Amino acid sequence: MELLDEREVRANLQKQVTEDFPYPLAVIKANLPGTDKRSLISAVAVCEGYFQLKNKGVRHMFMSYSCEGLIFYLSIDRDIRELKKICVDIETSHPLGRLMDIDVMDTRGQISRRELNLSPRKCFLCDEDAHLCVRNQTHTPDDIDRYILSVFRKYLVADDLATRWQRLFFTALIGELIKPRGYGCVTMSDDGSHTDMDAMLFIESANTISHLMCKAYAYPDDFQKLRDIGRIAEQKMFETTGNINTHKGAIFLMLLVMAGLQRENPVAHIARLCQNILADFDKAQSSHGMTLYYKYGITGIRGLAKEGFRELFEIYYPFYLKHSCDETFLKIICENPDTTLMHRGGIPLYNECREKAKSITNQQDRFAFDAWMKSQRLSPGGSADMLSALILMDCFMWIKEEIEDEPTDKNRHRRYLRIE
Amino acid sequence: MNRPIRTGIAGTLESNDCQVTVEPSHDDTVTIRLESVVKARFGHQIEKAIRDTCDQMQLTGATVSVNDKGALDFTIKARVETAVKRSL
Repeated sequence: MELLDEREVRANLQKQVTEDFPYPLAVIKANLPGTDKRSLISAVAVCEGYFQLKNKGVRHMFMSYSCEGLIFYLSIDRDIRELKKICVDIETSHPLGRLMDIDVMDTRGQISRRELNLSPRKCFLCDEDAHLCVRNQTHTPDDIDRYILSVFRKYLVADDLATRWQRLFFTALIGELIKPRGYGCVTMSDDGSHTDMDAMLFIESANTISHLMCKAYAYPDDFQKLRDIGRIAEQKMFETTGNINTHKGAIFLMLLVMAGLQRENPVAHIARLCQNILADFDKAQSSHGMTLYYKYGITGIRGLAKEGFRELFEIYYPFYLKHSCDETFLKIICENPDTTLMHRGGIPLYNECREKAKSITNQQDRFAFDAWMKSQRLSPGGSADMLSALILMDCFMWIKEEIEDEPTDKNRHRRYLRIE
Repeated sequence: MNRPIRTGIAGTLESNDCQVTVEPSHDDTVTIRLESVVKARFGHQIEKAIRDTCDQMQLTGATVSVNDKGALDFTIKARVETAVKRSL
């Protein structure tokens, strides 16, 4: 009954917020069935709702993450009826609007669709009032899951290719953030080993960079162009975050993976694009990867790029399709030369971390490893970037499939509709 | 038997939830008042779920008001239980 308790706590919180601020409150949450609403699809839908409302006069805001999923609370300086109309419009016309639930309220409580002479929301699958189908349990959970996946797939496919890639990048970055344990990285529920960043910063950063990175889709054969667009994305990322490095590694990795995915043989294509990349080390530039190269001769992400990210495509990706997000993340931590990790802890601690990750056998070990990483202030950022790339690949392969109405793929349901 | 000594409230007015208020009454009966967005189709079922929960909890001398926004039976039962506990 955790969900019911959460909901009661939230109702009180919402009441408090409407009393503390002289504006109506919009609460954006996932409109999905189930007692644990945490999932990739629900997080992306709620974030999209937030970015639709962000420029509508937000005066105060915060977010929460629980079994109710991701929730945004926005106090917005607008007439309550006008605000409700805007929200109903988002629910109706945004490609993921169907999966959002945006409540609008003030000190007197919620304003309903009926008060604006609008009809109540319809069921996902038929023409009935949604309340009736829920109460009657008219549709099977499998049918509902399939509907939710089809809505999300349509969102990813999009009308134009730039929008498609923006959504793919954004989904991949949000997907990385909802991993159940961060092992020192920021997740939706905690800041890991970091004191200068949180989930909100990553969500803002993901939005900024995805809108810039998508412009690179048309240049999968032009390394210089990819690099130029990457640099612009990086610069705007720093502007968004106040000079904090949230996604620098992810931009580099994901742009190359994007280029690779558009060609017959991604590994060979990326390797060809990056054949001269180690020449970077001759230039005077600074990054964690560079410093480590000068000190220990470790080529890090550039070394992997030169080989076309072979491990990513040939080992991690097939593994990810058969295992949970958490298991995949741990495997990457064990095997991937993560320069973020080396930089923060030095080589001895880095080796100790990999040994510990390798010896994990059960859930208890995972919690212990998570706590140990935080106590050592370690953060496997480079491995988290790899995880984003895997989600990008998974989404890309999904929308590439020609048959939209494929037979129920239980693994896909799991990856997109649950958190493991 | 359990007789309320104060007003107990549980639940919310959100979609798929309900708000339950349990208050002391003047006699030994349990009166149920139901408002529901699906009353026409499921009012009878919902009232039975409320009545069963009150019986299980051996409630007496109470007025139980439920404002239902399309909750399922397990939610209604859980909310009634909590509201009763809070009224004792």
